[in-house]
Amino acid sequence: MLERHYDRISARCRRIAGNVADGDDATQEALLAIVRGLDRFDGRSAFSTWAYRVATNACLDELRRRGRRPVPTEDEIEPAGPTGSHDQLGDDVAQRDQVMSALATLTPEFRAPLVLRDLEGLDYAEIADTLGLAPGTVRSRIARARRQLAERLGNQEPPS
Amino acid sequence: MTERDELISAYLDGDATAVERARVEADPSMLAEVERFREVSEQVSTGGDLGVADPFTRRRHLGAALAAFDDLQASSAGDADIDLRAGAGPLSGGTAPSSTASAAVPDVVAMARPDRRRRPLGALAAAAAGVVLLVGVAIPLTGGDDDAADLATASMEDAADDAARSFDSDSADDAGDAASMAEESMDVAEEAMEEEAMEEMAVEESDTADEESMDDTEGDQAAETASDDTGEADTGLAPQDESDIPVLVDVDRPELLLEEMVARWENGIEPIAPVCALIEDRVTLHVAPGTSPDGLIDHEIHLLADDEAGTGFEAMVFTLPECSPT
Repeated sequence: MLERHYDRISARCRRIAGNVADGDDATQEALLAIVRGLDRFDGRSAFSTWAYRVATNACLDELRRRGRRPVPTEDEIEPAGPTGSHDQLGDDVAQRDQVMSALATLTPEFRAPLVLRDLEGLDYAEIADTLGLAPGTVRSRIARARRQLAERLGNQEPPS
Repeated sequence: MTERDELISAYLDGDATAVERARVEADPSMLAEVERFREVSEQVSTGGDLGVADPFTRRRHLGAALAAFDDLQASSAGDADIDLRAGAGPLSGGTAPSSTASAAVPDVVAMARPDRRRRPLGALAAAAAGVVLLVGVAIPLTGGDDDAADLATASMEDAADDAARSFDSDSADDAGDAASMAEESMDVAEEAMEEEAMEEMAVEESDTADEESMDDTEGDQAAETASDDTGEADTGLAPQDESDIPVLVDVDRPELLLEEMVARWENGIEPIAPVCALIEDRVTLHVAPGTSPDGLIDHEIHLLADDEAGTGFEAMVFTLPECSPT
């Protein structure tokens, strides 16, 4: 059963962590949390829903516990711009690096709802259920995360 | 961060109300920001994925999790025999079943079916051919009519034997050996179920086993006798058509009931309703009348369809304290 859900848990933890190493460590903690929490599964939701919720929060707990997240300085994050000298592959890699670096500047509390929305396609209610947040909080955090990313990726706020 | 950003973001995600949508659409500058947020969202969706762990890391993680599970299991003396490993049943732990001793019935039995096209009862019946001590429980469990239970058990054993004999020669031989080594039999059956070449044969044999089992009038009569004699857990519903054919459950393998339930649902047959099965005074299975798999969320049997993975159902059995034996 754990094996069946492993890939999704692993992918989610990596996305939330913002890097492979922390994500894999968080995955281990997530699996342990599921095992240890089995007796608390009350069957009110599908097992997979419950397991992903436990895993997600275990990932967040692990990241908080570590208290270390990569926080690139402003200089380390170059605004996205034309990369005419690169080929397409180079452009893709560069863009990916920029996105990952920008995501890494977000705290897990903001990164988690954003990746659940934009990478996993969960709606606000599902995100709220997964993270144990109010839907309004989810909406607010996603908006804030996007604003920060827009600024860091070079999508400057237009003059209002 | 402003309320304006929330509005824009919610609009992008389709979470804005009609009033909010109208407000955004009436403001060109907000629409422009919607596009900026959309770009960010697309950048995250295309560039924010970090893949999944490599096979080595995966094995390490799963191994550690299962080790932790084993530790928990060991630390709770006399607790349920729970196995998280896909396809593993209670017998996989190496303990031979006993019809007389109190069964190590799990509070939670989890299992995965590798392919929903299979008719699982037949395949498991083949696997169960080697289980010498099989105790049948007629469902709906209406009491402790021993004679009826014996008859039902006999029919189950016959079906299992037939199914095992009709497996290919290697598997049949192994299943035969498993008459004295139930665990081996389970392993062989599991291996057989994983082999693509065996899959179609398993389906065919499962069908045969199911039909034989369902055609077994002796078993039907046994269940009806049990129901008539005791009147416990009386459903108030007269037995009718296929759905009233009793499900026979090995007390050491309550998940067989779920397999049968799944098979019935897959074949468009509603489960016996209501069903209340008491297995060794510990596990209770309860299905409300006309319940579909999707409607079982608040019941004690959970069937989790996993179409995305294409791996069929997961089934979980939970103890239902209020339905304890009387």
